[in-house]
Amino acid sequence: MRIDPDRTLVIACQETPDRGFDGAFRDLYEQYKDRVYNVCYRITGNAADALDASQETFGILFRKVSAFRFESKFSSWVYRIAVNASIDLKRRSAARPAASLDRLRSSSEEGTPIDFKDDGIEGPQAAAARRELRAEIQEAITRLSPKMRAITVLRYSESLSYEEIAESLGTSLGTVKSRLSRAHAALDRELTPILDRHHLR
Amino acid sequence: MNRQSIRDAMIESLAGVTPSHPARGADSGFDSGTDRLELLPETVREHLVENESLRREWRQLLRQARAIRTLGRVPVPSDLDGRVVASLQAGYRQQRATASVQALPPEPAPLEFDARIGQVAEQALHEEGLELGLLEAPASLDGLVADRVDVERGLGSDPVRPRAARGRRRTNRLAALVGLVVVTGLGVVAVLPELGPARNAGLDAVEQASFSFKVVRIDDPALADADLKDLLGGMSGGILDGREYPQ
Repeated sequence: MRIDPDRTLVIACQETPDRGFDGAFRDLYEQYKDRVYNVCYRITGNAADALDASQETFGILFRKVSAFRFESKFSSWVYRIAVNASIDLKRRSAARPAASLDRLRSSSEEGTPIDFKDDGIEGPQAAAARRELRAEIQEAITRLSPKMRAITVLRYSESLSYEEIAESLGTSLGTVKSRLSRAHAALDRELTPILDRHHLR
Repeated sequence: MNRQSIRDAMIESLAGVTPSHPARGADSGFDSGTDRLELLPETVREHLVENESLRREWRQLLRQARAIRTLGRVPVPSDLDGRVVASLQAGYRQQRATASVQALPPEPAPLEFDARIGQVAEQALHEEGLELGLLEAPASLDGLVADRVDVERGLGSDPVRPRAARGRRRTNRLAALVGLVVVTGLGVVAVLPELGPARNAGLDAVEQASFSFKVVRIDDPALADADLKDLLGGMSGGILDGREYPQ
């Protein structure tokens, strides 16, 4: 079995459980905050919920890291917690139908990636079209069922292998394949009109 | 290969797809508009050459994967750091508070309390039709009593030994529990420990028992566990669950 790349860091957290956010846990947080936040963002579909779910994820990690026994890859365990926290949060917020102006704003603005490949070339109109396209694609993902959303995000946003996805979601490889196939069928219905409208081949 | 296995292989091959870019044309060098057949395994590619519908399906899948990859990474908001630090510190404080409460020595119950329990127990035992042996305890009480019995018998908590062998069956144990409830003010509930084979001994048994109480304050009886309310309601003649007296 391969040695977990996070083994040293996790053991350092386990050996100093009383140091709170200082020391090893801060390193672990720095190592995972981008991945955790992005998974939470893509699954919840907005920045406010993503913040809540990320905070919940790190709280669980902090409380339970001492019990981690390397029976799975540490990163898979982190992804599993983040996915579950995001899905739970969406489920809870679906039960309270309050709209937040902050959320509407954040879902369109804070979803903008850092990496603009064509700075200096793209005009304001194209930039606006690109932002609009991304918002629509994100909405299409958000309309998928929680399980399909999770698998789509882990595969295409986090670029996980089928084995890593299976470990993260606690399912078999066969389930990953069939669920991803169904997710693509659903995405076909959701995305095709959007991509057609934006003339994207 | 059947249709589904070809589709599965096509989806698996999408791992190498890079984002589409609407601001540029199809021949801009970005992964947009080309069929990228080279991503597919040779065996699957052969099927696509012969079958237009499979080629269309592959193009659709490519298009979806490119679109999702367009989303890219979102920057982590700076306030996540502060929120995580605050929540961890709050959790840490809570843990320390819990540990210090758990470390407190047990307090003996006041004598007046003993007398009131005895009074209620006797009253309950004289009520017609009251069948203590049929009452069911909530599972948590069951566990607490079993552990307490073991500790008092000097057995400690032995995880190897099966639970059933450690104490008597739940109904027997419950039958031995006499008088459970005292209500004062908003409702203070006392649960007596096991009293041995003195089910019908009533007040005598209560007086002889070496009392140790678990005291639970219920500020709002409506929020109490349903099983507990049933149990206490039955034992208190309806005082706790509001059948006899207003809360």
